[in-house]
Amino acid sequence: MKTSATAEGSGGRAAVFSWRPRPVPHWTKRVGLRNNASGLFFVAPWLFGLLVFTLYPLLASAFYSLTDYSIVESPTWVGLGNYKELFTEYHLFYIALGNTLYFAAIDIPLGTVLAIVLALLLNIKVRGMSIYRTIFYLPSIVPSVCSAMLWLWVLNPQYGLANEILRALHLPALGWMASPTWSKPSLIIMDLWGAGTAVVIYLAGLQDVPDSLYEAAQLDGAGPVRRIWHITLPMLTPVIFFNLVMGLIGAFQYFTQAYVMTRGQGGPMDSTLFYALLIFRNAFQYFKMGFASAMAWILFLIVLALTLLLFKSSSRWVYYGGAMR
Amino acid sequence: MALTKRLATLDRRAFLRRAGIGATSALLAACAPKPAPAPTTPAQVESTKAPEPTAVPEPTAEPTLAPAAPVTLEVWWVNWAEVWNQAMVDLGKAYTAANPNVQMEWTFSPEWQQKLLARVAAGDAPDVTYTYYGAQAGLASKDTFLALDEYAAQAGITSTTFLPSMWAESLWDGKLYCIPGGADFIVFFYSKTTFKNAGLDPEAPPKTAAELVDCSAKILKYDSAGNVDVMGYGPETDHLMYWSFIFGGDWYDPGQKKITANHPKNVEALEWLVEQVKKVGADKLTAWMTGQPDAYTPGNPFATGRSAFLTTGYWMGQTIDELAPDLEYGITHWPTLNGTPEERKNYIVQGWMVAIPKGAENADAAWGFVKSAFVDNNWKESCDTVNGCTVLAQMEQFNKCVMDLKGPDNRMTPYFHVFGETGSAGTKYWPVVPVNQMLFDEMVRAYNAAINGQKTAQQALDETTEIVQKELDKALS
Repeated sequence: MKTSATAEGSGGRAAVFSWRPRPVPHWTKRVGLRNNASGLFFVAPWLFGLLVFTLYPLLASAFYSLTDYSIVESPTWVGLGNYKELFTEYHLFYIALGNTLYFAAIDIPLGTVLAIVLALLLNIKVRGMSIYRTIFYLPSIVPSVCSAMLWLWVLNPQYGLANEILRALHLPALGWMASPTWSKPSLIIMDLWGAGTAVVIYLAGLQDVPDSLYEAAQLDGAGPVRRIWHITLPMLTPVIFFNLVMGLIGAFQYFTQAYVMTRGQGGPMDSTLFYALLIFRNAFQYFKMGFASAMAWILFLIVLALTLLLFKSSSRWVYYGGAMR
Repeated sequence: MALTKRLATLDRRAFLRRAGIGATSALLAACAPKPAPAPTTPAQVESTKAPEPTAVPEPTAEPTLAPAAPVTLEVWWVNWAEVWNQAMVDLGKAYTAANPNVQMEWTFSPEWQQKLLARVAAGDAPDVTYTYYGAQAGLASKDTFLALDEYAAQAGITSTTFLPSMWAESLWDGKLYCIPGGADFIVFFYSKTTFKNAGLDPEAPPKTAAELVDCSAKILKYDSAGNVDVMGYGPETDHLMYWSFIFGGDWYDPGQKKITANHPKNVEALEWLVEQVKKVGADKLTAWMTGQPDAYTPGNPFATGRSAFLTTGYWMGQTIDELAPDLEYGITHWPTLNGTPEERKNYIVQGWMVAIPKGAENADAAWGFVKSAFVDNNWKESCDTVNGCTVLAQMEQFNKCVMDLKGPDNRMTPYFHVFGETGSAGTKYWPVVPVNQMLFDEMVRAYNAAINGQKTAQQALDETTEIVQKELDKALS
């Protein structure tokens, strides 16, 4: 086989920089094809799942969002009618969106700060730390419905533990889930109680911070606060970024606890009528699947936009150790 | 030898490939649709043991209902609770005992409605399904149920067979889409213990709205923290539905196809409710409603004598027997404006029904079960499942059955007539429109807006009318 370096047929002059792809022997082609086919074969079940259970429903809902569709009857084309109605006529659209944005705007930052603080505390080397970590993680594995029922009692306006504590501190008792003002904060508190999953992820991230950085900072006279601010947090930014993205997606899809605690009503006074709850109501109680699909796509676009914004901002504040900013 | 040699030289890649093919084939085989059942040939009906007497006329030319070949009817039901679910299963077993060719397969699900839609759309409809007044019109208008007019006509079932309001709720667009299964006769249970503690005559429950307000004022007590400790009459979110009809209002004009949520009498009823809520305090009432266990939970306020009234049906007697065996209680009619029997025609009587979904594989056999269990033997089905009888001619049998079960010493026995009087007098029902669930939700929103002072009763109900009318126009177009 002749290589480009020894090519002939051009007046005897050897080509120095010409490049010709090396011919592939026929037996390697067959092996390559067989490898590809084997690989495809083994990912086929996952691929099947992706196409049938993710991509097809996604495309189907996009189509149904442009129709009047009740699931049982055939869809009737309405074009952008559902979207127009949502933005201009539907009286609950902005209420539900507002509730969801309120929840996300408060729950995500609070949850991030709380999880980081807890992770820092749980990273201290003391005896019994594994027990403390378990205790803080346990609430996050309680099923959503069970935790909702539990918190209904904790936040009971008359007999609940929360108001008992407030009364003991000579503070006024609150309406909690019975109050339009305090219903969303109640749900936020409940959500923060289950911050264990994020704590574990931050804990893992803390293990990756090299001790040498802390030692060097100590030698330079940096105290604990400065070490946290200038070393720990910057090193933790990739994990913070991940949790922010996941938290954003989860907050906008908030449904189970609101549904269980308000029996699907979204009360009191629509204060816990979240966007996902409204989608559920339109789809399965009012039989307006096309309308609900349009709502779902608007939610998708909002979450996508916010996530892209987060990604775009990440270059300013996320530090990947060793990488150029 | 050749096989052994081949197996010995089988490499890991080849083994995994072949194992994958085998596993995928097994999965596809498991997911294959089940073969269609053999078509059933209707045979001559075997008559079940009919209750005596029955006013349902003898069928003139009834189709054969019990199939010749064995079938399994899939029955799709709401999840009431284990004891009542079991009662339905026993109902099915009794039918199978009389019709050995028909087996029953019950599924109880709180998400029956959502899953029913998906199943009908997928062409995998069950044979029989539960439905109720809040969903019937919406589902029927979406072509989810079979029209039962032919079956009913052949069985001699007419509008006079059932309670008028239950019959009306089973229709959509002039056709019959379900059979009334059980009616709710909603009355006032009152705690004689609480009455005595408030210095009221325990044998003189309120008969009028004014008397209700007076005795509630005497019963209402607050604790040292200012929360409600003992409640008289505390309006619940759906009570506007009941009071609106008692005040003489209505929610729908079928002739004009207009939502009449802002009917003057509805507004009057809501204004009256706002006044009652103000007497307790809207935030205190909401805290009470949110904070108390419901009537089916041990320690609930009625069982513990901390609430004077409970608005519910006769099934509650069983629960009270379990949770509060020592409680002294009585039962009275829902108070009306003037306390006269004539006003009882404004009581709501509605409940649940049984339908055959479109696409059911065994529609004829399903009808056989539905007719037997919910028409011919409605008195027994209602008695066994603690529901109100819906067949007019079987009310006496139903009453006797319940009394026999309860016995003469049961606390409910002397008052049981109240349920029958409510059921036989009441003619009102929630509108049979495809948007009735939305109408109910908007009614609740209007009620909450009014009692919290966000809107006047007129404003709140005007908004309800406008919102729901728009949806109704779309649904009917």
